[in-house]
Amino acid sequence: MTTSDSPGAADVAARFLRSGAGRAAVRRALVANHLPPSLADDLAQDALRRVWVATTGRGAPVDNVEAFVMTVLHRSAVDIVRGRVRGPQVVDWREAVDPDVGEQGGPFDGPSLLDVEADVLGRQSLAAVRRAVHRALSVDPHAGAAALAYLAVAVDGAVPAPRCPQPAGGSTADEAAEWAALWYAGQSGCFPGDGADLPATVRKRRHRRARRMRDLLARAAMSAGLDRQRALHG
Amino acid sequence: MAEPLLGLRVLVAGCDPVARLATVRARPAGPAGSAGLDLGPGVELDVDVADPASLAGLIVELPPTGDPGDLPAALRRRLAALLGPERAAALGTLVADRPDDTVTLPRRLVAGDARRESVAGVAGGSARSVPHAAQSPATGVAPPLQRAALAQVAACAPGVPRLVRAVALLEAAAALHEMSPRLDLRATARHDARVGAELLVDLLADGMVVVPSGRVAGALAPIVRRAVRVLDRDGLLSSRLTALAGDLERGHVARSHGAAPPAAPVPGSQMLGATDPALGDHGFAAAGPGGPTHAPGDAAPVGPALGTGSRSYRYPDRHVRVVIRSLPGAVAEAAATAQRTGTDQVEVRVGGWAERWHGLWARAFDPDDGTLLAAGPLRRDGRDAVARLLVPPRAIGRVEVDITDRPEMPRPSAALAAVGRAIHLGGVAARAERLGDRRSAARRWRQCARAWLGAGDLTRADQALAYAAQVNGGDERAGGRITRPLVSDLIAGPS
Repeated sequence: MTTSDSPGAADVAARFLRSGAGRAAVRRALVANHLPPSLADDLAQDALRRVWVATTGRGAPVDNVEAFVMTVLHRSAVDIVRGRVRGPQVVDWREAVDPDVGEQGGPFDGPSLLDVEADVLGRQSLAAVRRAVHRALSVDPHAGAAALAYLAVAVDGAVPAPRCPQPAGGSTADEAAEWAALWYAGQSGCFPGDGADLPATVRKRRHRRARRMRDLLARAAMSAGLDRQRALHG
Repeated sequence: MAEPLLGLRVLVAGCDPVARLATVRARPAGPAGSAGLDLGPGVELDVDVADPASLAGLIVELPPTGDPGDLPAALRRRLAALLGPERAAALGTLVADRPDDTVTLPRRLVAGDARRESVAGVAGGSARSVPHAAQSPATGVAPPLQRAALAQVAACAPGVPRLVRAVALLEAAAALHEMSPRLDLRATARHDARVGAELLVDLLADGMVVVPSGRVAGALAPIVRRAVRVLDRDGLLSSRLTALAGDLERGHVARSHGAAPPAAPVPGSQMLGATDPALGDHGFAAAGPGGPTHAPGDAAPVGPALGTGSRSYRYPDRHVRVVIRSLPGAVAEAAATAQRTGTDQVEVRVGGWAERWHGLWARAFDPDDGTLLAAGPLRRDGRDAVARLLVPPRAIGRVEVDITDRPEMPRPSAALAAVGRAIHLGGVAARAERLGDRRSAARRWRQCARAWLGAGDLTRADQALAYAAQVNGGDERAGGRITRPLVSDLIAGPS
């Protein structure tokens, strides 16, 4: 029995799904819901994603990963039969609500893993980080979208469009990348002149959302196997 | 004794002790898939979208540890209200005693009038004899549960116009509230009513509450009034809704007749959405004229583009591939295009979807390995919905984009996209049936059948063809299968 709240849970789930018992479980879930066998890979992939979401510390710990995989396989199959339409309790209706309400603390000052590694990230590592960010869209799609845009600017050297807001002269390249990242993630409330909020409110909101983006990137980098010690010392 | 909320039809139950789930159904969901409904902790309901009286699934979460048959008292009460006390008890026995078997639950048992009958189980094919009641009218899922499930799907499907979302949520709330004496769904009802009311109040502020006809206004007013009762503690929302209900009853709400017709589709295009009357039903013109765009790849050219006169394109080979088959629901029939509009920027535009962008995301993928490179939410841009994506320079010349309401999901395989498409087409056919538009319904059922054939599901393909024939055969309610339209159906219209 493997417990969750550790990186190993997702690995256990992946190994189980590749095993004979796991493949049989996938087939059972498809048969029970009268779905074509050609959906086996999609079902397994979605089950892995759900396991990852459940084991990143947001939900209650999972005592038995294999049993949990069986449960999520069934739920994934039902989700397909529902046309993947989610219920109103799950849909994020309130985009107008500031997701940072209730967060404490000031702006993020320290370097992220990616600041340190920006010069040395290999192609494979970068793809792994992007895949981890993709999974993280399950819990925070806006921060994840910003993280992808940040990678495009800070690591790949993408050039934001001229209409993208830019910080005042004297700002760092990193700050400019943050602004671009937030803008491409649709966070229009983070920039001066986009609404009726006070400049201080806008600045705090921008800092909070930048910190959420950096936190997500740091977790993605860790789950992709990058660590600060290796980054600092080679 | 009150009739069970899931009716008296023969039901089949199964239990997976490892997954800790028990399932009950009348028959599998048909070609339009199912509409799910959360009935509180541990219980979910699915009705067949094309035959909502038919129970496509009741999922019961068993206790995570210990005796799976030791169901909490609150859960047992709910199961008794749904299945009836005898069948709820039989389900409990199944779970406790025979976790791997599949049995047929009897209809209502009548004392002294039982006879034995062998029935086949479901997946395992095991046979089990059960007492069988005398014949009685086979009622199905209670109408309020049907309406709540269908309305929630209408509200939450990708690309649904805001007014349809708002009205559908209020309908769901009203139906759930109606269940309250027997199932405590007040919290769910209040959530749906609140979200629907807030959307509706936003639309009022934007002047976007436009109904197709006086008939629809008359049907909408009682829905709004019921929502006021559900929101009994929210003074501001309730007062706004009460005022709206009065306006609807007095005919003081704008009507949409006379709206500009949508643009004609490019010959050979797949943009069925170009003739979607739902665009005109919202009081604003549909996609304007423009040069045709091309989305190379899987599909024929998609639709006319929108007015692009104010934008300059300095990039050769500016067109970016939109993977049409990956687009969910109604998005697949929209005028979705992608163009390179910056050194490393791709603009994804959905023509005429200024009111339908909520919850939709554009994504850019590396076609070589499927890595997600960029994602951005759609936002209103004039009459369109637009997202701008910043893409790594090395990939800008070959990136592929899609649009989704589930950005965290991987790109669907061809098989999954085919199933999704088939279910969407079935849902559209079912809505056309409810609206009495037999011609649209038959056409959509035939499209649905083709899609299921492509997905490899001959059973559902045959079922869709049978529905097409049934609709063409003139039986307006198809022997009771087709329910009356939702108010949100009347606003959305057939397509």
